[in-house]
Amino acid sequence: MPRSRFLTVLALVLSLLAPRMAAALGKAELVDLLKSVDERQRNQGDWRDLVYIEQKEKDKVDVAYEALVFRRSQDQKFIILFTKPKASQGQGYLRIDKNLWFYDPSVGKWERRTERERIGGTNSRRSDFDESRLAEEYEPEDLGQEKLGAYTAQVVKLTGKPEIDLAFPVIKLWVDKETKNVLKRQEFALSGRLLRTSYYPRWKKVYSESKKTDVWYPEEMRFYDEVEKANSTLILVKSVDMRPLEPNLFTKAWLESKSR
Amino acid sequence: MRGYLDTLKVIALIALRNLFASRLKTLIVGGIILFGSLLVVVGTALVDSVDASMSRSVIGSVAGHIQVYSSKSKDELTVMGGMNMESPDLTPIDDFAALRRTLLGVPNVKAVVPMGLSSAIVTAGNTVDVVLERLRDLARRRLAGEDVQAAYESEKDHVRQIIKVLSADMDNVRKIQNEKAISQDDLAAAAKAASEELWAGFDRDPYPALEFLENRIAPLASDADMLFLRYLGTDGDAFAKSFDRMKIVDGTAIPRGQRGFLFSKWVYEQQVKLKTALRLDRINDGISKRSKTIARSEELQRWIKQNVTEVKEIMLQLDGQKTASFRRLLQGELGSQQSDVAKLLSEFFRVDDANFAHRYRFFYDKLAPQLELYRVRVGDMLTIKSFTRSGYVQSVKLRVYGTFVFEGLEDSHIAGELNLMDMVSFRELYGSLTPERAREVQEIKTMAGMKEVSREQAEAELFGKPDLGETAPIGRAGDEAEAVLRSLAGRQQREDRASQPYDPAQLEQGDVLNAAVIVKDPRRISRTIKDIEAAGAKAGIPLRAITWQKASGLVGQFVTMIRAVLYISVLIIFAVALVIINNALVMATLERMPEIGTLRAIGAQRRFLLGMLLVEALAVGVLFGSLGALLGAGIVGVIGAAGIPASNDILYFLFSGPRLHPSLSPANVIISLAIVLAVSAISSIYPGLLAMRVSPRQAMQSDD
Amino acid sequence: MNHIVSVSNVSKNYNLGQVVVPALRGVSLDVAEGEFLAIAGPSGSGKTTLLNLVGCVDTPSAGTVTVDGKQTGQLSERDLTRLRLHTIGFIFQSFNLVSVLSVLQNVELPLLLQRALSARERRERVLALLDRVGIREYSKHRPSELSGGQRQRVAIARALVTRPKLVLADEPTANLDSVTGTNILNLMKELNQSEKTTFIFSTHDARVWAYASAVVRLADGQVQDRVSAEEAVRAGGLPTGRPV
Ligand SMILES: Nc1ncnc2c1ncn2[C@@H]1O[C@H](COP(=O)(O)OP(=O)(O)OP(=O)(O)O)[C@@H](O)[C@H]1O
Ligand SMILES: [Mg+2]
Repeated sequence: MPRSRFLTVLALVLSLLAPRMAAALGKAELVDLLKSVDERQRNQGDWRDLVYIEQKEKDKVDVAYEALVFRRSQDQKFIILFTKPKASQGQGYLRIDKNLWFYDPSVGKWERRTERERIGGTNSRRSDFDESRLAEEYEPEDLGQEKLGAYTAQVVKLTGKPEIDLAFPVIKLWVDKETKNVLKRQEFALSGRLLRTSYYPRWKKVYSESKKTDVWYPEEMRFYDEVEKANSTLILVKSVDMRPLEPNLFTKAWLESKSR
Repeated sequence: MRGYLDTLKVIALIALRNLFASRLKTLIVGGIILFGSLLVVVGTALVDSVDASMSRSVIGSVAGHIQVYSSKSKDELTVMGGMNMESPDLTPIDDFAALRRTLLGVPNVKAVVPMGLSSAIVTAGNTVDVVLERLRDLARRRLAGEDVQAAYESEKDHVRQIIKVLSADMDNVRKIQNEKAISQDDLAAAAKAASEELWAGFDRDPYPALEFLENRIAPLASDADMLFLRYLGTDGDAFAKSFDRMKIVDGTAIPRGQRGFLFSKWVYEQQVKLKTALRLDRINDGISKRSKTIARSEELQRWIKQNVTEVKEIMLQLDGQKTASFRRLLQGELGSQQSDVAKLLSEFFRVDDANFAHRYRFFYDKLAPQLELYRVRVGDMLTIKSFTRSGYVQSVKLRVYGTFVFEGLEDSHIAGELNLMDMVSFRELYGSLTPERAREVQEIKTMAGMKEVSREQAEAELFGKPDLGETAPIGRAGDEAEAVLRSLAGRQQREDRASQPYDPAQLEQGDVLNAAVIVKDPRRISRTIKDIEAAGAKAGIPLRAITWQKASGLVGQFVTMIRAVLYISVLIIFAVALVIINNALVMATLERMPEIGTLRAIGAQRRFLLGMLLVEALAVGVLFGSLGALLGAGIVGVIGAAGIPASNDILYFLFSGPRLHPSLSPANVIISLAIVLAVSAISSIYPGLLAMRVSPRQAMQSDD
Repeated sequence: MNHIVSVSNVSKNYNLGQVVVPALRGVSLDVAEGEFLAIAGPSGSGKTTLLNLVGCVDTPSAGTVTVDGKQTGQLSERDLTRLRLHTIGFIFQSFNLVSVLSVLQNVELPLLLQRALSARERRERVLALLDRVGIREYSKHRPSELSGGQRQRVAIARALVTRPKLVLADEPTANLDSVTGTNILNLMKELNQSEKTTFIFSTHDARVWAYASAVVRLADGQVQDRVSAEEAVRAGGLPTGRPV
C-alpha cells in the first residue's frame, strides 16, 4: 500500500535525523571541552604577569591597582602582590594548598581568607588571576549553542564539586566553538542569584618553553556586578614572563622578606 | 465686685447641688477624669524621668549636647543606636583646629571633642592560627637572638598538645560517624604533624614546619572567629574630660600622644571572652539577677549543653602541663577516675541548680587562671583592617590599652557597642581621598590604557568582530617585579609605628568627621545650635549642628515615640471624657429645662446659665482631676521609692542604669490639671448653647 | 394717664403640629400705673398666655406689647431679660421654684441677679418678706419640703422681693387657705398703695376681685369687657355674653 510505504519511509527518515536533533553533548564530551579550555590556558610551569585592576563603583571614586601575579602550575601555588598605589604596596595574597592568606606589610599580619575574598576590595577573585581548572572543580551540563556577536558559542552550565572552596558555586559559560576560548561567564550564588557577568574579549597567546606549545591567556577581563548594578571591574594582563621562579617563592617567609 | 462674687456663689451653689442631685452621673464622669489625670501625671512623670535619664545616658556617653558635622555630608549623623553595620557617610571637616576655634567662639560652648565613627571586621583566625602566629613570632625572635627560650618552648609544647587534641578529635569523628568522615590527606597531615622528624629540625629551621602546620593543620580547627567592631576615633584626653561617665575598667587610658585602642567592656565581655566563660556568666546572671532556674529555663539548659559539647575551645588552649593540672583539678572536683580531660570538662560543665554556684566559683578560682579568658588581652596588639574612603585596604596595629564602661550603663549594649581609638589611627583607617591619591589612581589607569565599556554596549562592542588571537610579545614581568620588590625592600618598616608616639599637635591639624559639643547651659541648646551654624558659615566651614536626641538616632527618637504614644492615649481618653461629660451635661440640661426657664424668666441672663454649666463641669473636673493628680503623685512616689527594674538591655539604657526612679515635677500636675480644665470647659459649650437657645416660656412649660 | 402696660391688638397662636391653636385673638388692654387689675375667664380662655406676653416671657404672634414705655418686640433678648429682672415680678401658676435652693435662696435669687444690694441688705429684705408671707421659719427648707400653699408664698415673695413696678400673678391665691390668701392679698394691696406697684393677676377667685381696681374678663382669647370689681362679683366673674 502506498500509504503504509510512505509511513515507513517517514519513520526511516526520522530515525536517521534523530541523533542530529538530539545533538546535546554527552557528559564525556563536555568534560573534554572543559579540559581543552583548561589545557589551552595551562602553562605547566612558572608564570609571572603584571595586572592592572580597576574598580568602578556608584558614587565613589575609582579604585585602581597595579599588581604582580606569580603562579606555579605544578602545585597550584599563587601570589598576587600589589605594587601600586603606594598605600597598598606590598600587600598581597598567597595561596598554598587550600589556604588563601592575605598579608599586609604595614602591620606584618597574615590573615586567613576564603576563595570568595574580593581581591583588594574589587569584584575580582583569586581564581580570576589563576590558571583555569574548570574540569577539576566543576561538573558540566549542556545548555546548547548560542550566537554571541560574531562568535558561535557552546553554552555550558557548571556546578561546583562538593568540598572544594570555590568563589562561585555555579557558572554559566560561553565557549567559542572555534577556538575553545572562554568568551563570557555568568557567575551565580548557590541560591541561583546572578552575581556577576564576565567578558573575555581578547585572548593572547605566548609560546611556553615548559609546555612546548602556546599558552593562551585573556588580556582583558570585564566584570559587571549584577548585585550592585552600577559597579564594574576591569582587569588587564600584561608582560607575561614564563622564566622559572625561585623555588621557595611561594612561602610566607618570602613574601614577608620581600615587603620588609 | 461683691455682687459678682455673690452671683458666683449662687451659681456654684446651684451647680454643686445639681451635681449632688445626679450623683451617679457625676461619679462616672468624675471617674473618667480621675483616670485621665492620673494617667497624665504618672505618664508624663515616667516619660520625663526616662527622658532625663536617657539624656544623661546619651549626653554623658558619646553624643554630648550637640553634634556637629559637615553640612556637605550625604547622610545624617547618628552616633549610636545604629544596629546596621554601615556608618553614616560624612564629609570630613578638614581642619579640626579651625573648627574648634570657631566653635569655642560661640558663647554657650564649653568644650569640643573631635570624633569619627567607623567599623571594621577583625578576623582573628582560629585558635590554632593564633597559637601558630605566636610561635612564628617567638621563633623569629629566638633566631634573631632575643631571649625568649622559655616562652618559645612552652608555645612549642602547646602546639604539640593541640596536634594531639586535633588527632584525638579526628579519631572520635571517625568512630562516631564513619571511616571516611575524615579524608586520608588530613589523617596523613595530622600524623606528620605529630611525627618526631617534623619537630627534630624545628629549632634550626622552623619556617617549613610552620608553613606546613599553618596550611595543613590549622584549617582542621574550624573555630575561626570574627570580631565586628564599631569604633570611635577621638582625642582620648578630651573625651575623658568631657564624658565623665567614662571609666577605665581594665588597664589604662590611651596615653597622650600614643596610638591605641580601648575596648568597650561590653564588647570585650560579649565578643572577646572565651565563649565557655561567657556562657557561665550568662547562666550566673540568669540565676542571680533574673531568678531563673536551670531546671525550668530552656535558655540556661541550652547554654549548658553548648558548654558540655564545645570543650575543644578550652582543650586547644592547654599545653602538656596545663592538661595535667586540669586533669588533677577536675578529677578531685568531680571525684572521678576519668583521665580524658575533654570528658572531664564536659562532665564539669554539666551543671544543675544544686552545684552551679560552686562550680562557677571553681571555674574562676582554679581553672580560669590557667586559661586565656580573652582572645585579645590588655597589652596585646590588635590589627584592624578596613576599607578606606578611597576604596583601599588599610590596616593599623594598635596596642589595646584597656577596657572602659560608661558608668551606670555597664550592661547596655547600645552604650557598650562603641570602642575607642586614637584619632590619628582612625584617620589612617578612614583614609580620606587626598588629591595625591586621586592623581595616583589616574596615573595607573593611564599607564594601563584602560577604556570604559558600558554594560549595555559590552557584547556588541566586545564581540563585534572575531578576534583570532595574536601572539603576545614575551613580557618581562619578572624584571619589573624585581624592580618593584627592590623598591619595597628599601622602604621603612611600618610595623613598629604602632609603638611610636605621635605629636599631639597632629590631633589638632587633621580632619574629623564630627565633633561633640559640650555646652555651659543645656537649656539653651537650640539657640546654641543656631549660633554654631551661623559661626560655621561665617568661618567658611559649612556646618550642621544637631541635638543629642537627633544624634542618638533611633534611641533618641524612642522617648519621642513613647511620648507620642502617651499623648495619643491621653488624647483618646480625654476625647472619650469630653463626649461623656458633654452627654451628661446635655442630659442634665434637658432635665432641668423648667428650672433654666424659670431662671431666665425671673431675669437671669444667658451668660449666667453658661456660667452655671461651666462651673458645674469645672467643679467635676477640678475635684476629680485633683484627686487623680493626687493619686498619680502618690503612685509616682511609690514607684519612685521602689524603682522600676530595667528588665532588658534597651530599658537599661533608657533608664541609665538598673532601675528607674521616676520623680514628680510640678509641671506634670499642672499639665494634667490644665488638660482637665480645658476638657471640662470645652465639654460645657454645647449644653450651654442648648440652654441658651430655648425661650423661658418653652422651658418653664415642660414642667408638666 | 400713664400706662405701664399697653397691649394692642395682640394675637397669639400656638402651633401644635399642623393645627394652629389661637390662644389670644386681637386683645387690646391698657393698664395704668398703680392699678390692681384682675383678669378673669374660664380655664383655657388665655389668661396665662396674656400674662406671659406682658411678662416678656413670650412674644406675640401679632400686635404689640408695651411695658414701662418699651415696646417688647423691639427689645433685644438681653434688654428683655433686664426688663424682667428689674421691672417685673412674676408669680407663676406652677410656682417654678429652683428645687435645689432653699426658700431663702430662692427668694434672694432675683436680688443676686440684680447685684444691687449687699448681703446684709438682701438678707434683711428677704427675711422681712418671708415674715410677711408667713413662712419665715421655713427659710432653710427646700421647696420640695413645703406644701403647695407654702410654695406659692415663696413664689410670691420671690416676685415681690425686687420691689418691681409691675407684678404679674397667675392665680396667686389658688392654693392658699382663705386666711393666708387674704393676708397675701392685703400685702399686695398694701404694696400697691404704698409703692404704687401695679398688679395684674389672673384669678377665678371672686374674693380676689374685691381687691381689684377693675376686672378684665376674657373668653376664648378675646377681651369680653372691663368691669368694676363689684360688677364682676355680681356677675360671678364670668363674661355676660359670648362674642360674635
Ligand atoms: N404651649 C401651648 N401649646 C398649645 N396650646 C396652648 C399652649 N399653652 C396654652 N395653650 C392653649 O391656649 C389656650 C389658652 O391657654 P391659657 O393657659 O392661657 O389658659 P388659662 O386661661 O390660663 O387657663 P387656666 O385657667 O386653666 O390656667 C388654651 O386653649 C390652651 O389649650
Ligand atoms: Mg392659666
